[in-house]
Amino acid sequence: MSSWNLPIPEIGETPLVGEGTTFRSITETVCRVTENKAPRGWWIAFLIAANFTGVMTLSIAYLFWTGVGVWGNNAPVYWAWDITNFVWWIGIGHAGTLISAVLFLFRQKWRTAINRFAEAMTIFAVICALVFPGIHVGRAWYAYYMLPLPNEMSIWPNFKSPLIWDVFAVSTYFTVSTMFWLVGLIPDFATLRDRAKNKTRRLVYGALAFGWRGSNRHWQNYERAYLILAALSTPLVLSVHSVVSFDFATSLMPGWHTTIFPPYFVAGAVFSGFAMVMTLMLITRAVYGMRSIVLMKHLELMNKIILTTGSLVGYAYAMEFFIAWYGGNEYEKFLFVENRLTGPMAWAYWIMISCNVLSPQVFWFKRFRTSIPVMFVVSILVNIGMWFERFVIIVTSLYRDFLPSSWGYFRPTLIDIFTYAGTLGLFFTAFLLFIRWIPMIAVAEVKGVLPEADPHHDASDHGEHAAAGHAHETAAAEAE
Amino acid sequence: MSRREPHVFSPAQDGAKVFWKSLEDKERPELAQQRALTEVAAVAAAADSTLVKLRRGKTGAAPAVGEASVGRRGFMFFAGATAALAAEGCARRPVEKIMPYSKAPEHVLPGVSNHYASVRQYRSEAIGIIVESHEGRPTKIEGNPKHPSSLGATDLWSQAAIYELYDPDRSVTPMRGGRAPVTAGAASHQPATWAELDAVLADIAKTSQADGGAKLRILVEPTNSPTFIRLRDALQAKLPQAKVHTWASVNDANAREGAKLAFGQVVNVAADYSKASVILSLDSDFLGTEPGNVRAAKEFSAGRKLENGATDSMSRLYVVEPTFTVTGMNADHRLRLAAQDVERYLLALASELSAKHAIDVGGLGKADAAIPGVTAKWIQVVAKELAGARAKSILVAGTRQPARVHALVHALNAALGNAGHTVHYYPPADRNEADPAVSLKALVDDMAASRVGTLVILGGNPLYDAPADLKLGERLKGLGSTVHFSSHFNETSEACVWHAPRAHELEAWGDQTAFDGTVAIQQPLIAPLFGGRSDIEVLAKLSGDISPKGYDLVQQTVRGSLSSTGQMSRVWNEALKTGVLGPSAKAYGAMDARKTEVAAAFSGAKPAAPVSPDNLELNFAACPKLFDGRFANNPLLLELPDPVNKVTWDNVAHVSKATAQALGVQSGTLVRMTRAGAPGPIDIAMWVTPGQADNSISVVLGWGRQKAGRYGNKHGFDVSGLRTTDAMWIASGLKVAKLGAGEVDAIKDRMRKVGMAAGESPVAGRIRPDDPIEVDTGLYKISQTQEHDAMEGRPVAIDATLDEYKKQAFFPMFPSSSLGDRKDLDQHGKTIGVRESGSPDPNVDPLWNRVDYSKGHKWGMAFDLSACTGCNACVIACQIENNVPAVGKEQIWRGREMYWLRIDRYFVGLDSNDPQISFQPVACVHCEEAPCENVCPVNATEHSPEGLNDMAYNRCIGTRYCANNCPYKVRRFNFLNYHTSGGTYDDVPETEKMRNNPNVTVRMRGVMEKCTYCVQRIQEGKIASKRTGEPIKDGSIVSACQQACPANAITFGDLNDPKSAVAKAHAKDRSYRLLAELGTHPRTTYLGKIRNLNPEMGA
Repeated sequence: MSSWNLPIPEIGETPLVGEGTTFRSITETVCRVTENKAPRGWWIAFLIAANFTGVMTLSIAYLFWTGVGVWGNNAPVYWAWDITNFVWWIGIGHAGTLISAVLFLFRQKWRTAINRFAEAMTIFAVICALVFPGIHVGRAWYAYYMLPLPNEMSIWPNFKSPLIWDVFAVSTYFTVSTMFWLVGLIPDFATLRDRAKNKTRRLVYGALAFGWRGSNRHWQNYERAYLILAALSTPLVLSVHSVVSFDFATSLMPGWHTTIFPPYFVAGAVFSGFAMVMTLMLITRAVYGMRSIVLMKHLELMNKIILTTGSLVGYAYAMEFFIAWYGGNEYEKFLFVENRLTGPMAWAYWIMISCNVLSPQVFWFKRFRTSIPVMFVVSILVNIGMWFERFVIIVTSLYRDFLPSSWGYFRPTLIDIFTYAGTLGLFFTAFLLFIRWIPMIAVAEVKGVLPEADPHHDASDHGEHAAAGHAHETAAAEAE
Repeated sequence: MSRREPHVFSPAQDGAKVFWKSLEDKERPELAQQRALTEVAAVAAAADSTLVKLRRGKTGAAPAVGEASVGRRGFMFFAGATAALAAEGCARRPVEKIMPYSKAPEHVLPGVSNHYASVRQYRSEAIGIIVESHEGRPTKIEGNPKHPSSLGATDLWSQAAIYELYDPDRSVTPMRGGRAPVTAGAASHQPATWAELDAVLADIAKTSQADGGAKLRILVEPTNSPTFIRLRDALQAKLPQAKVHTWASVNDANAREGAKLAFGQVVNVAADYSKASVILSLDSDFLGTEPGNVRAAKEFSAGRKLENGATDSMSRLYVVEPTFTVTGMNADHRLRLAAQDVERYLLALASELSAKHAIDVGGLGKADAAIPGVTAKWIQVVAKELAGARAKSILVAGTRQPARVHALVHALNAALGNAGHTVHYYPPADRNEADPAVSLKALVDDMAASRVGTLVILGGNPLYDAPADLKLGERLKGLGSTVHFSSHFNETSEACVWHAPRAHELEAWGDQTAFDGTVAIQQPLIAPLFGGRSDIEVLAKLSGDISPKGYDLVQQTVRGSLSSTGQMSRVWNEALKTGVLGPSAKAYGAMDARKTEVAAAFSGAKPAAPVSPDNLELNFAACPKLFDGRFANNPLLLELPDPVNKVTWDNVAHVSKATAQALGVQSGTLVRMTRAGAPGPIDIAMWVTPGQADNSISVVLGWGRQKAGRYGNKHGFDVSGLRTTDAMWIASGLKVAKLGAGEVDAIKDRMRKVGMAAGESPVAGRIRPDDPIEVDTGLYKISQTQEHDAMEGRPVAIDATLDEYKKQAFFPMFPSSSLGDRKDLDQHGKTIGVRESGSPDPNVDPLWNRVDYSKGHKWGMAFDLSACTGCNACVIACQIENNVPAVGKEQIWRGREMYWLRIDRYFVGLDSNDPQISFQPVACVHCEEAPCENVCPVNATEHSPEGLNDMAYNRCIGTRYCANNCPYKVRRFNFLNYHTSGGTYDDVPETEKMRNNPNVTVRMRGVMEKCTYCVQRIQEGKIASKRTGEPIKDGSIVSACQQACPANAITFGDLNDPKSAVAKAHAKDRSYRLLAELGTHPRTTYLGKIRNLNPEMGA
């Protein structure tokens, strides 16, 4: 039985961790971040992020006190930044589960370096996304009407409404993602517990580790649970954004009423999610010196996915135009040509095209694919572009629809901007807390891709791989 | 119309109620009252206290609680406020106490409305109304079908009158002003008692008695009230030296003079537009702002309804006017011509008629060979049409046109044989009414010559709207004894020594004469809210009557008109019940015009220099919303979109594209206009309007009021600075210069929210934008409800010519290319599209079984685009009926208007200077397959078994998804609490709460709303039918818009009743469903608009 863990040099595979990386060095690198004092930079970043969170809280308080009118939403643009932000955040929240679950099932071992990170990001992004459906409604204090709660009037939610589907899809996604993440964290929490130098840490991490002892039975149960949760999450990756896209696709508005939306939204979500992981990863990797764990190889693979999904999204854009022309509907034609390509809001469309379709094309070249500055810039551009994609879909479909008498325009207010910037603050606050207190790299999983982790108990398995493994093991032992 | 006798409201003898605190007070109430008043006065006077300054009450107009030092009352105020705030903190929703009747009044069923007939004055016209009253408070005004001027419909002002009645800024108490120079910030007037005012009036009566009224002058508005005229004559008989002057900014002086010129006497002209085949309007907005507009709209649309399809006859309307009016919007052919050139055109037409068609109107001079802007067709073809339609045509001249134009129109109507057939003449209500401008000038001259001792002004606001050259303000200041009765403490009140509240028409007894002499009793619906007096009471008082009662005065008039007094009670009761008193007067029949006098008037007139880029014309008109400014504090009218340009909360100066280019201005440019011979410059925003005559700038009156009230102050631009006695309507030699940055800043400061007096209103913050100037362009910010003017080639408001209709009766179903080009253009003249499709119903089977609506009721509506004149009466009616709030300029600018029923207006045609107009009322169409319903996550909008798309406001959480998915964009969202200034309901004035229709929920913020087909009226009809056991008769349930519509353009009823009017309308060949191809199956259909074009006129 040969190990499926090991890189196969014959096909050009290289190890997934840096030369000289050992069990100990991985544990050290990851755990010490949570154990040492936070660097000054972390505090500065945290204070800024927390301030932005405060801005969000105040904006929302003002919104609740005064009404949705504090935003720029109007007739006919009844949805604007609120839903744009919601869909954007949900999209960002896609990479985590994709990396964790789908790549896990496909046994893409390179995911280990980034999955914890991506999963955390997913959860925080979904939290940010969940802010919006709650606050965007006119009477937030009655938002619970959307839940199927028994009531004295026997009114049930309207299960025909895609917004109800959203409620279930997103909350399911959030629950499963969180469970998946927490289960994955158990061995690492145990490591932190074992390394704890004071009682508080021991108790807190001990509680979070659920009594993990690292026994064979524990590992067996753990891996089975992880596999099951991965299998549960995988369809969710596809379903959440498909359902979110139904908000638009099932309506009759030109520009929304499109069957391509579900796959297009999923591709876009993966695209933006990877871009966000990339942005955060590059910063953290540089700041915390994790170049030996998160290799250029990982980054390059991610860039390939960004290029693929970016091109998928570009294909969808082109397809929308084709169908608008091919379908012969005058409202559709008008929408794509006069509302998006040209017209008062063409600027939004062209920002979207340049950021989403054009900028990732540099990744066709290995030189750019492996250049940290280039990928950083592109990842930022993709994040911007994907925000504009949602803005384009929502606002430029609404602002000039069927009856020209009702046409309008959209201008955001300061509160719109504050609320959006505030959710970024919320996201980074949560993220910084995560970096500070939780192992940001899946220690146990990365260890699993070291050659030493390759189990080899009988002689038949002693091939070249095993020899390499032995060499590694010896080296590791010497290092200790 | 209940069993009871109509209420006799005893007018409060001395206005102020007396509250007593002790038995001593009760014994001597006048002392207690005196003390109360001094306390109020002291509080209002303590302006310079530094202890406490409240934000409100700086205007000095109202004796507000503000700016009080902490005395006993102040302490109680703050103690109360603190307690309220403490309680408020925990309250999620405001708690409002309801007081049940401890002893129920007789004949009042709570929840069941009563209706009473009354009448309202509009210019020289009386409009008979029926007022709906809920538990003693009037909430809705509707037309009286028995009244000849109403015929069951109303104009928009009658609808909005409810808001006038409950206006929170109405004057509440008499005010006395000192003559001492007023320091800034201090109130110029102090509240006084009615007793004091009565003493003053008695004193005036007494002194006038002594000298025969030599020093007494009374300034009134034109009247049509027999009682008023009787009392005025009585006063004149008693005080022969006293003079009664008349002033109204918008008046019928030209028409009256014209009639005098033509017939030797003043007549009321009543054209029957339903009988005409050709109508030529010479600058007359007879469907909009002219007197008789309701009846005219009714008859005009009757003449164009094509009830039986293309075989019916249809009148053809030619309009010559400088700027688009409601009438011009309905024209089949419209000539844009400077107002002063209309006369030239008419002369040319008359000479063409006399030269080619032997229709002689006497020795008129030779007409100008060529008039700039007028093609030969417009003279030859129109003359041919008129000559071919003898006794079946109508010529009508507008208020703006000089008397001789009116006279010539009379002469032409006589020569064409129209008089007696399509045009009728009736005796006027008031034969002795003077030309207001002349009358006011005489008054001012008297004042200048110190011949006036006392001036009593009944109603009106002459200081605001008098011609600027009279300098009335200066004269008024010099006068020692002035009394002004008006509904508001306005600009004129401030300049007078005494001010007193004047009763609203719904509060006071009176009587009014319609155009044909029909008298209607003005029956009050409610006791004066603030103890106001009516004009007739004041007149009687001035003649020496100690305590006149309006009821008695009107009864005396009626009794005097009867042959035997025995009939009195029967006649009186009948008049109150039906709303009309006795038979109407007989028409004069065909009257022959005095041709030579008419011709002489023309030869004697000096023709104005033709308009040119160097000689711009400025013409004034009554505002189609605020009229002459009297409605300036009515938020509904302030916000109402202008019928043509859809501008809200402002007036603008209309300019044609070419003239705008020559002046270097664009829409929103602020300019200063000056004119030699007129005192003040006016600063105003320009607006490039399609269909505007070149070199002619049109403005409307009534805006830019300084003391209108919390809503109306400083909106728009006051144009009276350029209006003088010699140029009341048309002025030439206008100079236009763009404003410099400093002057723009001055306007900005004037209009800014922060610049407002703090006491005005909490809602003001929402009404005004933070910055009245667009930041990026420097242009004046204009809020429009419709910013896009073209139909983009879409089958929206579908129209066809009569010929096309004859060729293809089902024209709305087909692309217009089969009929000829129907191109659309944008405001810049760019062709946007040709209508490529019609609006046929989808012919695919549904994927699921559709609901069966064939049992029970199936409500539906039809809008006849051919009949609709776009007059806006339905829009206001809908707002009043359904408690739809005005949202303010700032919110409109953001695109958050709340109209359940809106009138879309599109410019159609290839020439952006001379477009045709299509308009289309759009409300919820109640789709059977409603896209809004299935997307609502909480089931807040659902279909009723009768096919209504219902809203459950309680259930709505405000996701706004339904509005996104509504292709008609008829759903409206309460983005803010539009019924309050913000958080709570406590700052809503009590009177504003009174005006709401109790049968319709007042929606809070965060809730979606839309047209319900007036579901409360449907339910009322169903309840009535259930109670009586009679099936619901077609036409017994009318929606508010349908009720108000003077053009019968709206039909509502049960589609399951094949005989119902609405079922017939749906079955018509030219009916179509808006956006039918979406498969929404709307219950509202539209009947395509038919234009009766004359092929000889060319494109």
